[in-house]
Amino acid sequence: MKNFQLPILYASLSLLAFAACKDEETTFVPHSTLSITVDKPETVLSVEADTFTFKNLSSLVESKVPAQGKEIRLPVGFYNCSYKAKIHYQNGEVISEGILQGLKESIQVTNNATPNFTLNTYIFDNKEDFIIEEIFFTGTLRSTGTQYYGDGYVKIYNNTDKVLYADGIALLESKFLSVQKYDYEPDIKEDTFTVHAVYVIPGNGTDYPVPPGKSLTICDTGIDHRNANPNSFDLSEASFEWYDQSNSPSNMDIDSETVPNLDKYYCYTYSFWVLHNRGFKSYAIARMKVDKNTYLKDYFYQYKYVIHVQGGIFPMTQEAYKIPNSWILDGVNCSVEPERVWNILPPSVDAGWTHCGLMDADKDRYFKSVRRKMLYVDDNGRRILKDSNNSTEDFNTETIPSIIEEQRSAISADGTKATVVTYDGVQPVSN
Amino acid sequence: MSRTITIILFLALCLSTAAQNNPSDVVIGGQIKDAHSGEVIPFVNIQIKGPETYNVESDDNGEFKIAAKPGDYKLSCSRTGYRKVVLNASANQWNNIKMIPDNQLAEVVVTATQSRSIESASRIDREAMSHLQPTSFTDLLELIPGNISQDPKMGAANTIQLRETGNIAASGSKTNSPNYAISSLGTLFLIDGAPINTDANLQEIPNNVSTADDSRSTVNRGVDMRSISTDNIESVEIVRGIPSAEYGNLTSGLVNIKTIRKAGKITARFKADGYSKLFAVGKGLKINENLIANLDGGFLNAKIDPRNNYENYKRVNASIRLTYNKQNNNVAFKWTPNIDYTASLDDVKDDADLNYGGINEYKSSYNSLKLTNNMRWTALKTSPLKAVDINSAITTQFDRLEQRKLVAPTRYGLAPTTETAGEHDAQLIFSEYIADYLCDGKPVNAFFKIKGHLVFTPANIKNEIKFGVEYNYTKNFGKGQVYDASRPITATGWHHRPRAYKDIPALQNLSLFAEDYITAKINEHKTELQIGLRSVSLPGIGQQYVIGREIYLDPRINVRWNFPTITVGKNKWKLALSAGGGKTTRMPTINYLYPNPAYTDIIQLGYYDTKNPTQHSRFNIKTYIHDPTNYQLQPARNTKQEIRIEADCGENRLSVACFTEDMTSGFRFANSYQAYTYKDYDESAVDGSSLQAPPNLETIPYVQKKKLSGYSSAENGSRLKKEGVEFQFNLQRIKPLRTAITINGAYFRSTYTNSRPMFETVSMVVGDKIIADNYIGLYDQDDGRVNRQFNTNFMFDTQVPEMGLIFSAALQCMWYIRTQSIYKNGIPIAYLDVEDGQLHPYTEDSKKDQYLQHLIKNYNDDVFLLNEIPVACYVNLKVTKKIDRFLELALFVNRLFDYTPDYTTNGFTRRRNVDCYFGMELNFKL
Repeated sequence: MKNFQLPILYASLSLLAFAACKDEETTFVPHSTLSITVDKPETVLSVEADTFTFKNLSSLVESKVPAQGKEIRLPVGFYNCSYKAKIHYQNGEVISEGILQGLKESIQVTNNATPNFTLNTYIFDNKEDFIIEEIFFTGTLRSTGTQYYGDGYVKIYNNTDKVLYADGIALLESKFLSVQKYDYEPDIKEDTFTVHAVYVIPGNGTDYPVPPGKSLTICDTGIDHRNANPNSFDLSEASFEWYDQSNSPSNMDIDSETVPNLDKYYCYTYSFWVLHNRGFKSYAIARMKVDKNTYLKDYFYQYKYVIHVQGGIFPMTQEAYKIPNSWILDGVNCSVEPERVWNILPPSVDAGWTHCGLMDADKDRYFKSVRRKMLYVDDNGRRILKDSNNSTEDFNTETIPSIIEEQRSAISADGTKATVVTYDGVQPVSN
Repeated sequence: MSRTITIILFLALCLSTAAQNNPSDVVIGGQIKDAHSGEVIPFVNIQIKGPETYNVESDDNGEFKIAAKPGDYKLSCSRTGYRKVVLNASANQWNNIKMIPDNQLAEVVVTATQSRSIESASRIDREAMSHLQPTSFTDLLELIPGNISQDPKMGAANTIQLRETGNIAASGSKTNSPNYAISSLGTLFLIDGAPINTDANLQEIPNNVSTADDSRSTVNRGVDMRSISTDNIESVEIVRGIPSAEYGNLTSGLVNIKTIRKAGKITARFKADGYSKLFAVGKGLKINENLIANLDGGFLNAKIDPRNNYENYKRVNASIRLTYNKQNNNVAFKWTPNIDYTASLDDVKDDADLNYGGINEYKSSYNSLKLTNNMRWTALKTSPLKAVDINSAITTQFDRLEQRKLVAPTRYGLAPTTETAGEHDAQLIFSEYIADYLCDGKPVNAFFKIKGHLVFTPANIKNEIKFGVEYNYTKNFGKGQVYDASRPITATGWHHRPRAYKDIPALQNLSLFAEDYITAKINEHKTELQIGLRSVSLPGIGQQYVIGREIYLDPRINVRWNFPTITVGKNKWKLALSAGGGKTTRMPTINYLYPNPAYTDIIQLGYYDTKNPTQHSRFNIKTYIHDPTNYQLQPARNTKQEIRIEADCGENRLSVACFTEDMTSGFRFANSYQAYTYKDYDESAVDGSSLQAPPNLETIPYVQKKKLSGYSSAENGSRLKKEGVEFQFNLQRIKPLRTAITINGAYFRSTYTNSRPMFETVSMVVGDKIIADNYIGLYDQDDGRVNRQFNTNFMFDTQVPEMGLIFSAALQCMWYIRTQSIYKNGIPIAYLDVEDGQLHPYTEDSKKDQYLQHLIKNYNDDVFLLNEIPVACYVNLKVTKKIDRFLELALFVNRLFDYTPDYTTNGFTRRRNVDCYFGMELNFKL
């Protein structure tokens, strides 16, 4: 990565006292001028409205300073310095709007030295809404080695600095597989996402507040799975579950009384929905912009394509629902390297792809998930996760799922337990 | 009832005309044997010259017999490989004739021969079989027009298809749809006159749980040809045209197998190829002048794929057959009892990597013990009644299918264990278990047939009349499907319950038949007419079945016109035209008539207690039990027509047959749906924290709801239409090259469709509405395909008898296989609505409805395009060589050369890779 420096800010040290007027006495606090180098990723094309926020660690007073222009002078003390800017950046083949953010912690401003530091910055999606933090689609194994279903989950995360409401957020699975690509007629993939499962978080708009730095766990079945599979874990405390009501014993789903259900809009099957456990699908979250009935009426999609395989030619007609890409908050393409053919979600949503398993039906993929990389822990102890709209860059692959880490449950069919807790599957939690 | 009277009248008419027989006829008959070995010699040409000239051929037992005008006759017997014998015939006496083998070794026929009889049939003899080197009966079909050589498929039931392409998928590969099982079920297999009755075969695992069983089960599919060894077969006749009224309970054709019944040396055969090893040994013992005993046995050990040790097929067969001939001046008596034992075993284990600790295994065994008792009395004196045959057989079969499987519920499973209707709690399955499934079948079949032959010749019109009665009884005495209902073989969607087969009633099949075969000479023309009628009925099945109240009649007719022989130069030209038509009827099997009860289980309460799931969860189910028996079921009835032309010039012979068959009443299982009511309990009303026991149903509020659900029952819903042309052209052996050329082939156009509207469900859930629970569409469209294929086989066989060498090269060309799906628009004609359980027409408004719009099935137009597999040609080589008097060596290579060009469909190039299949065998004669 090349170092890219925009106008560098220099300031000279000033010992001039600045009087803060108070009723009883006047105190002189010495100020210093800071020299900050902002290190930007090479893909950043243009920057606007960039600001520094300095937070005094003793007074907890925050002050915002435009990054361009005037010199920056601060009273002596300890600070955390964060940087934020609106940017345009090269995202694969397209140019995307985004946010550039960075943080430098515990900067000491003294009166006899010029604080001189480099601030690393990261590109973020500019939607300022939920992002997908983790997808656990592979499932667990029983002690005999057979697959167990029902403990898959998706975590969505508030990566912003404000409270977000989860009401009306849809969890979506693509209809298409990343390992097969056909010419779908009519072709709508540029601006819509073809989905075969649409499950929406209920609520009136403010029922499910999520503070900054917190996640929601949306799971398949919100029960303690260890009753059926001692190698699995407890999901009875999850935030939501998708429940597929059926009165047929052949496709019975379990409705947990401790975990609220998602509102089921559409599913391709009357059996139960499970996340694609070999990881060939793309997942997305979106804010539904229309009500359920309007959606079901107006967003039906029928398409045709022809499968050419060794066994012959199979003309297909299928049906699904569609979601405008503009509704999508975040999306993640999944695949496996040897089989991958295309990215189902376009670069405007996800310019890359991630994986759990190195090949199709990889036996080692079980007990593993994809987890978004953490950039840093901010001064409120909040994890800032990487969100550059490119899951190749943003995700750690084949990681131990966060819930398995927390519950220290099994990480393999033989029952070996997880021992380490991490922020993102890689960086360990130090304490 | 009126039909019964018709039959009786018909029979009475036959008998009364029979009584007007010319009393002055004499019988000339005898048996021909090899002067050295004492073996009987079949197919000897016998010319009987006297006041009239007759030509006959000796039968499999070396016997011949005709009724002739009184007078002195000379017999002249000739057959290739033997010196000609001429002797004076003694009328009304048995002529025992011995023929001396020619020094020169005989040339043999290594192809199937097209029959010269009035029925359109192919005949395959021992010599052709030894040159072909078959593993099972399946391999013989290569010789029938329309077929090419196939690799042994020992991992699947081998079922027969005559005069059709078979069901073909879009890719061109053959499929095995149960909807068209009548294809093979409709072909009757007879071994020494006794049928192989498979009507009580119920060996299966429901629910498509086992892929091993799906390909191997022959329920409703008729005979599995893998289990028929070819080593004790003397000859096979495969009747594809209109069969004689003597044979019934078939729609398609007849396979008539005659076993070896002659004295001879010990024969032993060892065959090895890439798939299997086969050993067979046999001996014909001459016990005394009148009695011959044939003993033989064989063992086959086959792998499905030579690289895979986990799947195999074994077959053991043994047979003792007695042939007893006795005669006095009036009557010749022939008694041919058999005891036959056949065992076969399919064993499939999962691949070690997929088989969790070696648990998963499928075993299906079949043990059959058959006693056949055939008797024939032949009148040697002049009398209208020429012969009486009594055929009878009893078969006891011990079938055992075992599947053991590690079952892992996908999360939790529900085992609905009750066998009574109503509301009850179901058992929640928490963890994995090992499930054992046993299907125990003991079909017992009894067969009895009595047949009389009358011959009389009023006004030079010869009438040969056959009439008789056939009775078949079959019942399964097995324990049936045995398993622990709380540990079913799949934890999801198990709608079945154990069922004892011995509780299923027996099936009886009664037929009367009468047939007149009339031959007359008009100047030099010879005309033949075979006209027959057969009744088919199922007595004792009960009046509630429509099929039990009816008697079905199969009229069948064949005519043949032989034009006078014309001599042009050295060659004699002969021409014969034949035509035939008739109905054939196949009665349903026990599985179709007495299907398993259908269970519909609906979850009313699904309460899973998150704190104490094992103790406090409760799943309440409402069970409906249906008898899916279709009392309206009719037999499958086929209408057959054909015309045939046969031309001979010297030893060159051409035979071409055009046929059409149409059956709209083929059996299939089709779904019926109705609305079921159930209580939908509100699980959210259960307070889990206060529970000390599973929740009490009475305290939980519920609403009455309805859903659509279905079960399948047997219907006459399949249509099978067969059209085509079969031909065979035998060229005279080219003497300098010692090579004969046989060309055969066929064009088939086969249509497989449903013959009535079918319900189909859709899978999606829209909003909270499961579409299939609320609406089900009825579609009046064909689910089927039209397939066409055209092939020709060129067979060059070179025989050097003095070296004991037969070499054959077959060029087999499948010129094309075409398959096309029949057009369907996907719009239902009506739909079932759960609200009233009634059918409603599907209108324009329905298309706009939020839910009903989803009932339209969309088909890509490309689905209906024609798919063609272009030409594929293969060269097969076979050699048999006599090493010395005791030893013969044979080897074969199928598809040694091939021409299978790449082809492009929809811009997609397909390459075809061809593997050759080869093997060899040693034959000992000691």
